[in-house]
Amino acid sequence: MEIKLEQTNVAEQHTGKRRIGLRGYLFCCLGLVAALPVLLLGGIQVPKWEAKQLEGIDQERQFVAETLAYGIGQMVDGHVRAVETLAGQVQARGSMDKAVLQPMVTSQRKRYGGFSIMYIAGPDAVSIVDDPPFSESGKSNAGTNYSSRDYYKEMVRSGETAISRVQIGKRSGVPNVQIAAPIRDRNGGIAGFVEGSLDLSGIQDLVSQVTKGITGLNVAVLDNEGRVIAFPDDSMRKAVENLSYLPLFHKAQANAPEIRTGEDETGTKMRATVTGVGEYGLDWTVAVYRPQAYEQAQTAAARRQVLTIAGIALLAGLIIATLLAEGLARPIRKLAKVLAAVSNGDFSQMPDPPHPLSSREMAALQHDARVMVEELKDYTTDLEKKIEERTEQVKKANQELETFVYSVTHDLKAPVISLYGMAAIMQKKFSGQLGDQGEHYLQRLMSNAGFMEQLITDLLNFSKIGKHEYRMEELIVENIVTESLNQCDRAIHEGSVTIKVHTPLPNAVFDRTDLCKVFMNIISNSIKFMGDQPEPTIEIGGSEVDGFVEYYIKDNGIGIDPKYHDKVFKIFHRLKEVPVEGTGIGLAIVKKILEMAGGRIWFESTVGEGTTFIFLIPSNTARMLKGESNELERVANG
Amino acid sequence: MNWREWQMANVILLVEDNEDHAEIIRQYLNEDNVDKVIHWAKDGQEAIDFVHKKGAHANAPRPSLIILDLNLPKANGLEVLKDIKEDYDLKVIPVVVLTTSDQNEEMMKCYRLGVNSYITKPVKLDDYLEKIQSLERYWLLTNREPQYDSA
Repeated sequence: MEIKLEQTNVAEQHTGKRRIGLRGYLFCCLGLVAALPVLLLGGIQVPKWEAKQLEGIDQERQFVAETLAYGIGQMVDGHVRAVETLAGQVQARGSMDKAVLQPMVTSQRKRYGGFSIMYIAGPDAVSIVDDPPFSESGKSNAGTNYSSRDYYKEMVRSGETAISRVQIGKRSGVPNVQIAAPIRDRNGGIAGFVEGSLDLSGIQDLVSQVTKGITGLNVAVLDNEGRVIAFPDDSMRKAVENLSYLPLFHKAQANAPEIRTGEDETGTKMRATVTGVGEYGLDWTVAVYRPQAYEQAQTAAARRQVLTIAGIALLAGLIIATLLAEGLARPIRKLAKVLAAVSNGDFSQMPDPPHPLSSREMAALQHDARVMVEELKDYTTDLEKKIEERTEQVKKANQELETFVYSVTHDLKAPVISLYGMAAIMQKKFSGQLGDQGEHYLQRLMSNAGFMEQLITDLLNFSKIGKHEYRMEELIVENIVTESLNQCDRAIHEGSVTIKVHTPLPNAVFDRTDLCKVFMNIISNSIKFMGDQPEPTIEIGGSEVDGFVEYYIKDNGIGIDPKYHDKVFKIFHRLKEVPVEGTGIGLAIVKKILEMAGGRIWFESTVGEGTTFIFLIPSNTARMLKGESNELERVANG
Repeated sequence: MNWREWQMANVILLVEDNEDHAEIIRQYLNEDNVDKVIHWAKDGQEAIDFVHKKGAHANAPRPSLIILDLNLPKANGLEVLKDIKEDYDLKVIPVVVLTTSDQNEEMMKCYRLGVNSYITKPVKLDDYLEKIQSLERYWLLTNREPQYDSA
C-alpha cells in the first residue's frame, strides 16, 4: 500500500502541470525552424526590394529626363538647321531682292512649324522681308531694325549662327528663342542674316507627350539662367520664373544625368533626375522630379508587400509546425497516458499497435511497450492469482491454527477440570479420613490444577494478540497510565508502592487496549519484583525521539541479572530465584504487542538497584498498523 | 420412586462425553435438595435419540432441562441443539450449554440456534456450583413451560 502511494507521487511529479508537453517542445522547435528562414529572408529582402523599387523609380525619371533632353535638343537642332538652310538658299541666289526673298521666307516658315516669326535682314540689321509680313495691327513688319538684339551682336561677333537667350514673346507671352544664321557674300563677309523666332511652347507639348500616363511626375525645363521655360503646370507658362536659387534646379551637365534631392519652389522635398541640353551652347537643364514622400510611399508599399508574403509564409510554417508537432507527439502522449494508467495498476488500456507511418524508433517503442504491458499484465494477473492462492492457504492455516488452539484449549482444560473436580469432591466427601498430610497433598493438587488453568488461559490470550481488529487513535498517554495504575491498584496498595509520573508524557497513536496492557504488564511486573525494598518506587516518564515516542518505567526493585536478559521477554520464563506468583507471560505479551506495531522494548538493570523498562512506538504507527490490519482483515475475509 | 413419581420428577438430560466431567457435574447437581432424575447421554446421537424417544430410549421421559457439552462424538453439541430447537415440541425445553470453549464464534452460533444459556466450564467448578444450582433451580422450579400430552 505504501509503495503504491509513492509511485503515484512520482507519477504526479513527472506529469505535473509545470512541465511543458512534448507537443509544446516540438512546436517551439519546428516553429523556430519554419520562422528562421522566413524572418531571415524577409530581413534581407525588404531593403533589397526597397532599393530595387527606388532604382526603378530613378530609372523611370532618368528615362523621362533623357528623352526630354534629347527631344528638346532635336527640336532646337531642327529649327537651327531650318534657319541655316534658308540662309544658305539666300546666299546661293545671291540676291537680296525683296520679291525673291518673301516667298522663300514664307515657305520655309511654313515647312517648319514652331517659328513665330521669320525674317531676312541686310547687314545693317534692318529686315528686308518678314513672315508673317504684317503684325496683328496691320503694320508691315519689314523695315524693322534688329541691330540692338543680342543674337545679332553675337552673330556678327562670331560670324556663326547665334541663338538668343530665352525671351517671352511680347504679344504671345510664350517663351521663345531667336536663331540668327548669317548670309555671306562672295568674299566671306556678312551680307545679311536669316532670323527665326522659335516658339518654345513645343517643349511644353513634348513634355506633355513624354509624361503622359506617368502619375505624379513633375518636369521642369530651365534655360541657362535657371528660368523655367517649360513646366507641367500651365499657369506657370507666362512666369518664366527663375528657380536657379534652388539647388535642385542648378545647371546640369549634358549627357550626364544626376540624381538630386532637395526642395522645390513650394518647399516640398523632392528627388530629381537632372540632365542638360548642350546643343548650340544652350546649356539648358531638364529636371524630372517627384516628391520624396511619393517615393517613400512606394518603398513602404514594397516593404509591406514583402512583409505580407513573409507573414503568410510564417503563418503557414507555424500551422505546419503545429500539425507536425501534434502528429509526432500524439503517439507518445497516448503511450504515456497508457503507461501512467498501467503504473497505477490499471490494465484496461493497451498501448496502440505501431502505425504504418510511425518512425522506426516510435514503432519499436510502441511494440516494446505493448509487449511489456502485456507481460506486466500477465505477471500481475499471475501474481494476484498467487496471492489469492496464498491468502487462501494462509486463511486455511489460520483456521487450522484456530481449530488447533481451540481443541488444545479444550483438550488441555478437560483433564484439568477432571483433576480439580475430583479432588474437590474428594476433599468434600472424604475430609477427615485423609489426615493432615493427605489434606495438604489434596490442596496442592487443587492449586496446581488452578495454576495449570491460568497457564492455559494466558497461552490462549497470547495467541490472540494481533488477531483482534486494531482501532488506532490518538491517545492521551497520561490517561492511559492512570487507567493502567487503577487496574493495578490492589497490588500497588498491598506493596505500598510510590508511583511518580513525570508529566507531561508525549501522546501516542495506538490501540487503547493494547497500550493499556503494555503499561499494566510492565507496572505489575515491577511491583512483583520489588523484593523487600523498604521504599518501593516506580517512576514513569516519556519523551519524543525522532520518529518515535519513548516511555520508560523505572523501579527500584531487585533488578535483573544480565544473564537473564535474553529470557525476560520469553513466554513462561520467570526468575526462579524469586517466589513470585504468575505465569511469566506478561512481558512476552508486551513484547509481542510492541513488535507487531513496529515498536521495541528493552531494559536496563542493576541487580539490587532496580530495573528500567524502555519502549518505543513509531510516531507513524497509525498508517503502518492500519495497513497491517487491513492486510490481516483481507487474510481473514479472503 | 414409583413410575408415576419418576414421570413427574424433574428430568435433567446431561450430554457429556467426558465421563469424569459427567460424574463431577452429577455430584454437584445432586448436592441440592431439588427432586430430579439425571440422565446421562455420552454422545450427541444418544441425546437426540433420548429426546425423540428412539431405539433404546423408547420409554425415555421428556427432559425438563438439558445440559449440553459442545464437543461431542457422533453428533456435536451444535447439531443436538439445532435438532432440539427446530423441533416444534422440544424447542421449549431449556438448554444450557456447558463447555470448555470460550470462543465467541461458538457462543454466537449457540445463541443463534436458540440456546437458553451458555456457560464456560471453569476449572474450579465448585466456585460456580452455587450458580449452577441456582440455574437449575430457576429452570426446574421457577420457570414454567407449557404442558404437553405425554400420551
